[in-house]
Amino acid sequence: MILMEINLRDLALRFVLGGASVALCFILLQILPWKIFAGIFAAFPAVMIAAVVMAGYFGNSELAAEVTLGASAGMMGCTVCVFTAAFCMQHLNRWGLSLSLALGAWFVSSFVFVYLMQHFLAGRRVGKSGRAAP
Amino acid sequence: MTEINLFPLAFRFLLGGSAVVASTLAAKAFGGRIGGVFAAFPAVYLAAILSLGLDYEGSELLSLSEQVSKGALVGMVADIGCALAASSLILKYGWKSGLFRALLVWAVLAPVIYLACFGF
Repeated sequence: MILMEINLRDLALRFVLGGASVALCFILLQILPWKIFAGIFAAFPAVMIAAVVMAGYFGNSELAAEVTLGASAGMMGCTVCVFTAAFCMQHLNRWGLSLSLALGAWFVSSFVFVYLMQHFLAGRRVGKSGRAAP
Repeated sequence: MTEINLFPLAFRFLLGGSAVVASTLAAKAFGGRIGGVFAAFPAVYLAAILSLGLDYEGSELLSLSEQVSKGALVGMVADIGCALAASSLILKYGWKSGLFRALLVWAVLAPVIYLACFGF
């Protein structure tokens, strides 16, 4: 029951932050003449904030810090995705195809970055437990 | 002054929130490395781009999506800086203050990268 409550709070927080980011991006697109600047809010780290709040609230600061390192790997994959989308839209001039290629680039690059980060975090944990041993 | 209608705004809020929740549920369902990949699904960016498809089409849609993508690219680079800063700031100041300081890093970094790349 407690786990269910945690999940619902987690999902509610993610829903509000994700929805607010897209809504803010929409408002800025309507009122600002600089559309690129408005696009910055399409990358607001809403998911990371929710994950850190949940890890900090129900765990501790060390767990929350580890969550941010995991999130940075995912963000690198998202950067590849967005770069591919911008590049393809500029050069292929096809909206749907550009988004499809961007999603493919996101999946492959995220897999690699997450794999590398998991190995880094596992190595760090082994290093810490090794140092802690008498 | 530009008028912002409530219905399209509420729809985008629902779209963004639902996309993030769906990617979270997918991450939990898959688990392991694939779950880790889906935990960082660019749901907010995709929801923002897909919602443009509701209002624009053709070359206008392409041009606006390209501009939003360039802005999102600036935001994503700032995100990486924010996440890496958060990993040390949280350990130093605790998760609440560390997260707040890391978001300040994002708020400074994103406009600085934007100005460096695109100018005024």
